[in-house]
Amino acid sequence: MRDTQTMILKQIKDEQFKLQKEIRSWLGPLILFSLIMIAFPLSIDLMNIGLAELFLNIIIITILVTNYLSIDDVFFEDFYDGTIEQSLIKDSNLYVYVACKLMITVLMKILPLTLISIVFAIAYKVNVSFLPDLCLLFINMQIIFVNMLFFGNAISINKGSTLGLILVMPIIFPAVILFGQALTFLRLEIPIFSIHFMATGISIIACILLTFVTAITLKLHLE
Amino acid sequence: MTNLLDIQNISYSINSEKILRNVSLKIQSNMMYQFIGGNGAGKTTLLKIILEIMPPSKGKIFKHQSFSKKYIGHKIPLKNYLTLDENLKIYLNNFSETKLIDTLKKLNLYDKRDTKFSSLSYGQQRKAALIPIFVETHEMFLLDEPFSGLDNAHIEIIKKEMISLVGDGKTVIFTSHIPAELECETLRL
Repeated sequence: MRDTQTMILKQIKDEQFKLQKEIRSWLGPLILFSLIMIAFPLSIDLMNIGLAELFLNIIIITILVTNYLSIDDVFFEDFYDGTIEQSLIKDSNLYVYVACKLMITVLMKILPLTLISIVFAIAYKVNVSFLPDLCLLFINMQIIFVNMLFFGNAISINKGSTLGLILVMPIIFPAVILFGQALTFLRLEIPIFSIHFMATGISIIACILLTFVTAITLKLHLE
Repeated sequence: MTNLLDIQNISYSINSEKILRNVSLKIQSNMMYQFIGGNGAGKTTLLKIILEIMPPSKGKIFKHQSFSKKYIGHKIPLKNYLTLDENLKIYLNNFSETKLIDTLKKLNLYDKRDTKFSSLSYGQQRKAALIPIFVETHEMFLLDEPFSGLDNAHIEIIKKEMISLVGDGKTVIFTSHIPAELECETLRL
């Protein structure tokens, strides 16, 4: 039991260290996100649309695109340099490997992106009372997106990540609609507790189930 | 010597092309095994079947007891953007620092600890990948063409270490294109 705990902790530490050292992998998406958020208002007529309205209109797709680009090659290098093979031999399955990758992605990519999104929400003069709701929505939304994109990446590991994105997009659309509705309710000042509960439930299920499916998909590729 | 594995009539085929045909072998502790064969003979495939990464198309492997194993394959699971030292901290498990320093000195890698992995030559990268056989403790080591890319002096160091592992009661299985001058059981594929 202690051996397993030590092994999982080492895996988490190693993943965190690798990502921390690969600066472009986490800083790049944050810069890209900021650039889109800055550039978007410049491309439209701001006289007819308020900044807060604009923010709520573009944020979901911007986060989705940023998530896609930030985990575009999440398994690619590990697959081709034999790291995934070594994890499989060590643990006899890839669940721990995928779960650790997910945990580090949440800590080092999702949380900073949520924080920057909130900073932009404040800068775009979004009603301050919306911020706690937005924060929770962004975290859940990204956890769902990232899980699906992990799965897409695993499916298409030897065919390029675009194919993976095409395959998982139909599953992502319902989540985009759900979060779009949540933002509409926020604008209308309708409480969204039920959406928060549902989104949290979906993200927990996605973390457990999709991690498992992603691990199996990667193992099948090794065979 | 204790029995670790019984490989019974293993066959493996991809798209109706037979890679392995009815391979049978008993793997015991305290022994060294060499799989010899040309390109595409199925040496790596057999190692991966033993490692349970790939299931055989036919036949089975009977495991007498559980044991820890280390596989060092063609691929080098070390990252180009990290230094050799940083890579080893991630790559190695349960190792003693003193043993690691001795090994790095033995393999002429001690001065390269702070060098980015991408700046090392292929031979140096291969040597780094082989460090676990010197510092990690496992019952079985499976090495896929461990001598490729190494100069003669370092091939001798690796061979010496493999002999010493067998002397310590471990099992070493390795693949090669040409017979290595080592006292071991040979399986021609």
